[in-house]
Amino acid sequence: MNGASWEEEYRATFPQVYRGLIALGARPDEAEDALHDAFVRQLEGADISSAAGWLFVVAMRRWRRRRWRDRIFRPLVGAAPTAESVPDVRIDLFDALRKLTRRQREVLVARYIVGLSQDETAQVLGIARGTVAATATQAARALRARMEER
Amino acid sequence: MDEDLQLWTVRAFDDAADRVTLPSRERWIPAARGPSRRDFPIFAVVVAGLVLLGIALWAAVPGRIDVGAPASVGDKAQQPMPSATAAAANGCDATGNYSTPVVAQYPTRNLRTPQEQQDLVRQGVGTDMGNVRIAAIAYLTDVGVLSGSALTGYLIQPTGPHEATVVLCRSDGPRFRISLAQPFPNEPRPIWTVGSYQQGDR
Repeated sequence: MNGASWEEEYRATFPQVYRGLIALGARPDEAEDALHDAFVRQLEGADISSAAGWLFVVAMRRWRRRRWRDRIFRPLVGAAPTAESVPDVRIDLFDALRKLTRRQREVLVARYIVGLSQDETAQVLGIARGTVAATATQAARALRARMEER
Repeated sequence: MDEDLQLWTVRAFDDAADRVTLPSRERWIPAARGPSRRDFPIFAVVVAGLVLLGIALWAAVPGRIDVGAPASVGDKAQQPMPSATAAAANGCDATGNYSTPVVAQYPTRNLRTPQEQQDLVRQGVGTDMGNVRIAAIAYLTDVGVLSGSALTGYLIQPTGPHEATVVLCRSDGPRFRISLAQPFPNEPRPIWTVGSYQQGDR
């Protein structure tokens, strides 16, 4: 994929991947940075087949790595969160989503926000197709129960 | 997943996703950027670490190109060694003019006895190029040109992976340039000279 077509694909998938990262718990600035990192990484020569799936997984990893680094270095910074780093709205569904297991969160977000198929989800998360279906059902049921408790 | 749950899930996620405000389109593509604000702590720690390392190396390496702390080799190494600053002040450098003809003595100094070899190895001359100064002093003392004289400076110039030229300046004027090499780089053999020393004018 050359630079121009990658930029096109990237722009087309940016919204859902950005929203997916926010759903997983990323702050807006973290989600943006993670997507930028993934964008640059592809330009450096990463080989991808599905833009949305690849972007989602790479950006998610970047965000997690950055968050891990932040936990180590935050005491050195001591900065209060800026307006840019605070989500503008609290979304109940995402709050409830964060109570699920990591695998459940990833499957639901990949399927219902990023819009990946079962096969794509299985491929990018490195799990079996059947596991995707079972996890999605179990997670959706748990999520719905939590939302109805509210 | 049954149809009801499927429908609920799709609708719930669609509604939630719609409430996420996207950044403006011009921010989707990364601009050419230096270290971001979020990278700053790591960047600062790395820079600070490098600066401290630089200061530590600067303070720890007297001759800037002389590596390793001097190790004692007994009486021969007990000569007072000035700092690199003193060396420079005394003009003890490798680029000076050396008198001709060159006086060559002991073209190769083989360590004569097994005991001498063992002593030098034990005392740290061995494989560490940082100790070539000690070997040079030992050699020049041994051939008689340093006996009873204090040194005012020294300079070591590595000339190869296991070779160096050492310049020693004697307090009463002459300076000496001596070539040293470690003939068996991978073995704990003592450094020995393979060239000669040259006596120069100040």
